[in-house]
Amino acid sequence: MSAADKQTARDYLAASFAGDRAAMARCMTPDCKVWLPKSAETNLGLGNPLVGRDRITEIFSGIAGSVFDHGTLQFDVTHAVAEGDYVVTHYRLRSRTKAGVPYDNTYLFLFRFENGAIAECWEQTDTAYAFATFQKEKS
Amino acid sequence: MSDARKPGSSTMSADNKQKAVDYLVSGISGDRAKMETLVADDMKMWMPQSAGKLVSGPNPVVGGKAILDLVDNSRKNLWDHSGGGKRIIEHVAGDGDIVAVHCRLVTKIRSGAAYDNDYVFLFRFENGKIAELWEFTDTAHAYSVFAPKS
Repeated sequence: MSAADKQTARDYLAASFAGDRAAMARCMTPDCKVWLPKSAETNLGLGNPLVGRDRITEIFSGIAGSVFDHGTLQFDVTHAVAEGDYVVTHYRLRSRTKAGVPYDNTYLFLFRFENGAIAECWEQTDTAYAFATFQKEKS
Repeated sequence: MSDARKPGSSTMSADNKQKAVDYLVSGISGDRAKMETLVADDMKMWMPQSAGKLVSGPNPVVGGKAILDLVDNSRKNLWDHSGGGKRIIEHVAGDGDIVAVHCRLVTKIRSGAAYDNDYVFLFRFENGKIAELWEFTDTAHAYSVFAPKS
């Protein structure tokens, strides 16, 4: 159960980076909730939490491709913790932004599962670094 | 918290989960003696990279004493917990030597401004002591409270 949930969490992240909306949807319950950092809510003008698999996949399947140079995107899972209905995935994301700026940040995602699918997700990362990097132009 | 979310609900890593929560709660109350029983001498603490640049120190911070000194200094210079500042534990999950704690810090900063932010801490234990700690929080939100734009 826990091993399967860990793999589903990893599959969800891989699908979101690949922009594969259908694969993302297969990992989530229809009424899934994603809780964003407050600053993401403020800066991106999104609701918090995002509610519903259709809305979540619509937003996140496009973000990686709109922010990053897709061919340079690499993510590596550092730790995966699973207990009961919860999985925590610690990973490092390296890429170049669309402007060609190197991006290297770490993330922690907390997932709550229901019947093998992601029902809730909380996302944390160094948002100050992320927003500053996205605003940089290639020098 | 539901029973499934309480620290100690899993026999596998109940002890480590309780220690992780004790570390975070003691950091707010200023119970350094308690924290000293929890950390390894060569503990490493990984801050968000933007925070590491702000404090102009090494990242990771290495050494249990250096880390507890940093916690003490932060409590004295950044935070004002006198009005009931607290960490609210939302979720705790343990798996082998790793424990993750999702919590909120609800308090005030020294300027008097209210502070409410989410955190996830990842702990790695060795021989019952905290050997590594990774801290994640919404740094952009934190800095907007510490240095609000006029």
